[in-house]
Amino acid sequence: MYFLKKVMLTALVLIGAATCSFMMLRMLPGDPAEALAGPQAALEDVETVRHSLDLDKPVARQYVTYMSNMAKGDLGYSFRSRRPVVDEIKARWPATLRLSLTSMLVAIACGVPLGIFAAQKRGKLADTVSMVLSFVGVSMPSFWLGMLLIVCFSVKFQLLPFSGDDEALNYVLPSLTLGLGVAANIARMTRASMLETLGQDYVRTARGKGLTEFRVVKVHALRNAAVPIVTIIGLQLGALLGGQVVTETLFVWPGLGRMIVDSLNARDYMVVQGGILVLAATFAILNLLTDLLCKALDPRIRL
Amino acid sequence: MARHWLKASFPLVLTAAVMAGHALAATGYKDLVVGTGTDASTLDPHLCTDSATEVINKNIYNNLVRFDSSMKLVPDLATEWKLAKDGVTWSFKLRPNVTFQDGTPFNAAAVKFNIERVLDPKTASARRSVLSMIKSVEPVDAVNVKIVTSYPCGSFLFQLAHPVASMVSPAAVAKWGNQKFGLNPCGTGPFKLVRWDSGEKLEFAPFDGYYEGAPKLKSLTYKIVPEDSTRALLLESGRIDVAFRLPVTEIQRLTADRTLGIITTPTIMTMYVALNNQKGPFKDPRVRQALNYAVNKTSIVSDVVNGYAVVADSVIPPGVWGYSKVGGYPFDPAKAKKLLAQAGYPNGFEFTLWTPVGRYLMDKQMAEAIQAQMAAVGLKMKIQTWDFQALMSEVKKGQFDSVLLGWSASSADADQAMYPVFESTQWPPNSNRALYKNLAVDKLLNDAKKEVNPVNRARMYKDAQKQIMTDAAWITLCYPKQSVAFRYNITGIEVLPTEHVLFAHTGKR
Repeated sequence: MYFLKKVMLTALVLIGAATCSFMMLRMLPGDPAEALAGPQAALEDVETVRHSLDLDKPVARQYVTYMSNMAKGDLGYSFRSRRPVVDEIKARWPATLRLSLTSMLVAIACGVPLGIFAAQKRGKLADTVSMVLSFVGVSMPSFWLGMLLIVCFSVKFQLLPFSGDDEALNYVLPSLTLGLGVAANIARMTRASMLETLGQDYVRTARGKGLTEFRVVKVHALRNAAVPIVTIIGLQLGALLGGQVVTETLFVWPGLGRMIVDSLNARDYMVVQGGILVLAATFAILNLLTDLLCKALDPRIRL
Repeated sequence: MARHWLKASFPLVLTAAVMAGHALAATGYKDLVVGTGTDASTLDPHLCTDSATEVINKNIYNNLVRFDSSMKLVPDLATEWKLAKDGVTWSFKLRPNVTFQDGTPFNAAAVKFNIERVLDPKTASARRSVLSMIKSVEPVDAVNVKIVTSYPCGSFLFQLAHPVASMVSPAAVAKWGNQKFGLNPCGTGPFKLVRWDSGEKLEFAPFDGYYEGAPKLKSLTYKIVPEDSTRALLLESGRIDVAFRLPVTEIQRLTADRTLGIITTPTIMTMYVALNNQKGPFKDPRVRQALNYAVNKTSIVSDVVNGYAVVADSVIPPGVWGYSKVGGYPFDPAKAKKLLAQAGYPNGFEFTLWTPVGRYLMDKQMAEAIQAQMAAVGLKMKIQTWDFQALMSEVKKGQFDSVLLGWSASSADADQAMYPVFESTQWPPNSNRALYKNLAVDKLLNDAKKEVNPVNRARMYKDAQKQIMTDAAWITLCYPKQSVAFRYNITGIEVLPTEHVLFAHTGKR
């Protein structure tokens, strides 16, 4: 029952996302036929292009065609390259997914321990330092951090490569750039959640039983503090998947975000619509997984 | 200036060989990696419309005629041509024994196929009108072809050098169809496509059958690096060999690096402010002249773009055939104020300048400099910045006060450089964005279109340029330059004012 409801909800979300992106693109000033023909094209040439892209048909008809093709798994063709949008996405999507996952690993590896540490040292200098660090992490623009990392590790000391995704070392700098910002968010959430559980009676009981602090934190406190942390990780992963345009551009990453922005600038409607649809679907699936994970962590949660 | 700085003046042959020597390593050829800002759109030259992709297509295809680095028309796939006395029949002798990269012979039938493909409405070429004056193509034998135009067309040969007139393999088009040919391109050029990873890179191998001999490289790769500063860093760290389209600030920084060379050359673009000639105070030519006097172009060129442009002395640049140095308006704020007073605006007026951001060389910064200079003569100019596509849509409505733009005629002939932007039937939604109208200029531009005598044509265009400058249709600003930066071990890069960069004779030590 839960799954049926969730699947139907996801379908609704996707239809909504497709409709919104379809409508918003067409409300945006700028004409795809003109964009494709270029600023110096003769008027008759622009009209030829418009006709060849079916953009001279009424918008309602374009919408019906788009939605019915979408239902069949056909997302149309790129106006510019005439490549099927599905192929464009297949070429870009894995790169985005891989970078998001490695960034999330960095974020979890840094953020969770930092948050726990800060919570344990509540009110002490270590707590303040940790939280200031995470504050810096949240506020630092990824563009600036990325540039800093490139100049330091790639140009000055030539330790790490920074362009493309063809070898494992290429992941280090972009993952750090994206991961550190997210780590800061996770650290703050972990701290807050840990503080709440560390004050609970069962933690005092655990301590009273003479358990080591490590066991108290790991088994009793963290497990109970995990639900909000997992939730924010799920949300942040969604954000990573959709919002890394700047980092992708900086590190020459052939990802989905850059594809969408490039296509938007060229008013390549079909590619933008396809990209947004895939992001929406990913977000929906991530939400579902997060729900399931929270349920596994805390059986009291009813789905 | 550093000694690695090559400031080539226009008619020079602009090859990197000058500075970097030309000894190729005897032991095997190497891979050349070029960093460029945008991915290719389509590798079908008949459908391609953006100059970034044209640059890449130049590796795959040849035309019948082409430009050399001084913008002279020289033989490419045609070795000789002649215009008959009727003024409409052109005979071309084709280069013999040329084949396409798939082995298809290049011949008169291929020429016919290509031109007819561009003209066929089913192809939906956005550059169809470049060749629309062609009435028929008649192969005489394998290496001789006659092309008949519907009127005596003075700019005909220039149109044939346009990227849309590239020769593609008829067999490859038949095999892949119009939809997929752009992903499986095939021409007669020095490089053939091996692999294209969307958004990431395009990889080429030398074509052994190239008529000038295979390039002396193992491979040619275009790496898509959208961020300017990343492109510069990659070049500095030696991960790419050549970088295109670097911003002025990066170029200046790289000049100090002794492991790099930089070629700076003119382009065939004019940057201008289109004043809406049919709106408010701009209806009065004295006001438009005043604005021209008010703008300090010399300061814009030296301070805003750091010398990466030349002050314009006509509405078309020297690289375009038909250019005539008619002289612009010197910086003279006192005269500007006087003219404004004469026109009835002693206290100035308010208007808005629209500008794209990052589309043209330092466009927004130029607008800001102009704003300050307008204020000095009592004009209150507001700046409105736009996304480029949105700007073009709005400009088509013709309701703006003024807009900062660039115009470059990719056929490098005065007809395409002037007719669309100054002839009065070409008002928005067409390209005469200043809504300029002068019947004398209309006549000159229409007559010159149908004049095949070069001397007469040149005179007509000279008269037109003079008149347009006197009428001050635009605030004519400058001709931007372009820069290509490369590692010291790269030789033989050819940079054309059309912004095409050729690697057919490039080597890597």
